[in-house]
Amino acid sequence: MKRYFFVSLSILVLTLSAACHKDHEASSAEITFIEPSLNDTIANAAELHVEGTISADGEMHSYTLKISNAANDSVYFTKSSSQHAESYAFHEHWVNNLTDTTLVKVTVEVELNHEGAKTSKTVNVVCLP
Amino acid sequence: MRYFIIVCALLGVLHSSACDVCGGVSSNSSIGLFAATRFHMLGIQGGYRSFNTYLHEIRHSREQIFSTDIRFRFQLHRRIQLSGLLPYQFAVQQTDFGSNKIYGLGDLSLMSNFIVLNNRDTSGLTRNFLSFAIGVKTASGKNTIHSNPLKNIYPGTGSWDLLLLSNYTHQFNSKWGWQSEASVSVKGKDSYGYSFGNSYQLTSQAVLNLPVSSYRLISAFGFNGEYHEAAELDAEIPIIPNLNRGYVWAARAAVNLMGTNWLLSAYLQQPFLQNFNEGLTKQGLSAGISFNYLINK
Repeated sequence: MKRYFFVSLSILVLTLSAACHKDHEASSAEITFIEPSLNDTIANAAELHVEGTISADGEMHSYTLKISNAANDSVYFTKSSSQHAESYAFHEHWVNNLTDTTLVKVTVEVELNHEGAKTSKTVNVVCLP
Repeated sequence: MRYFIIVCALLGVLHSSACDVCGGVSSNSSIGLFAATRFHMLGIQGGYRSFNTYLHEIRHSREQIFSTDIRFRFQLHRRIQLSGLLPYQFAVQQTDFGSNKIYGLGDLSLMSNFIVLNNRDTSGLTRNFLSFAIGVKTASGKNTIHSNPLKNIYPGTGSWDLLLLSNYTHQFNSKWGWQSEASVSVKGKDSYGYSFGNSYQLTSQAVLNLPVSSYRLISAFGFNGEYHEAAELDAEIPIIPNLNRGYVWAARAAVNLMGTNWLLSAYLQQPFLQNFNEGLTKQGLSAGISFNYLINK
């Protein structure tokens, strides 16, 4: 009985190890913004359209899309994904509701692997009141 | 009994989905293999459809649609059948950032089927069967405005649609038959002036009818083809060209077990050639299982 238990446990551990795909983890990724473009101007009540792709040389662990104030890092919008994939396509909208002219940064940050390696890309836009 | 076997040559699956292009496509209404039978029918069907939506050739979302349909067919006259279907749908769209769920009652459909040809040989075997149907899909289900990005997974379209259908069956012998069905769905506009494009469907399948103990096992293998025209908006603001336009060809297999007053059916459908929304949407596996109670007229 004990032998079966250890055999089963070994199979479980091996399966879980394989599931991690550690040997396919990404070491680098390319983040491409299709929108917005650098220094785009967003009118009040207009939508900031964020769209792009992330491609890596292996399986990535997660990514975060954040829209924040470039001066003080106040966060207006953030979404995170913990899906493991070799590529992502993002497409989100945020409505400009700011009351002052503000330099806003759109940041995509990717967690590449178990070691916590990260890469990111930022595009700044101007939001009008 | 023989008559009973013969009329089972066509599987009567009335399937329809209120959502015309749910992250891809759904079929027009169908009368299916049981058009030639003379039962009144009352049934329930569980269905599953799946779609993937792509952005820059990367999967952006996955849509899964689960439905439960209540259906009936009433034999008004030996040449006239009245059928109806009321769906309830639960749809989930999964993206990298989470999921959206939309559920509710779909659009009620009603259809009249007129049998124009029902040739039998001396043994009572139906050799040729031809019927034409006309129906309407109501705007009774839960729906939303076209600017809602989840519109395609709502259970209702918000429009009244006209359904036209023809069904032909040829029985080669007591075991083998062939069934074909062609249909058109002429789409109306919703209250915002939006209309899904008209859709056309062709199904053709070989049917094998075998005795199993005291039951009948009716299997069908064939294909299903669909073409959907682009959606239109009756307003000054244009919508994306070719929105929801496209075609799909799918392999289809069905199996049905029939008792004296019941019918248990299941089907699988897998696309092998398709192009929707200029490649942005791909339909995946569809499946369904149904139970019908048969009432002798």
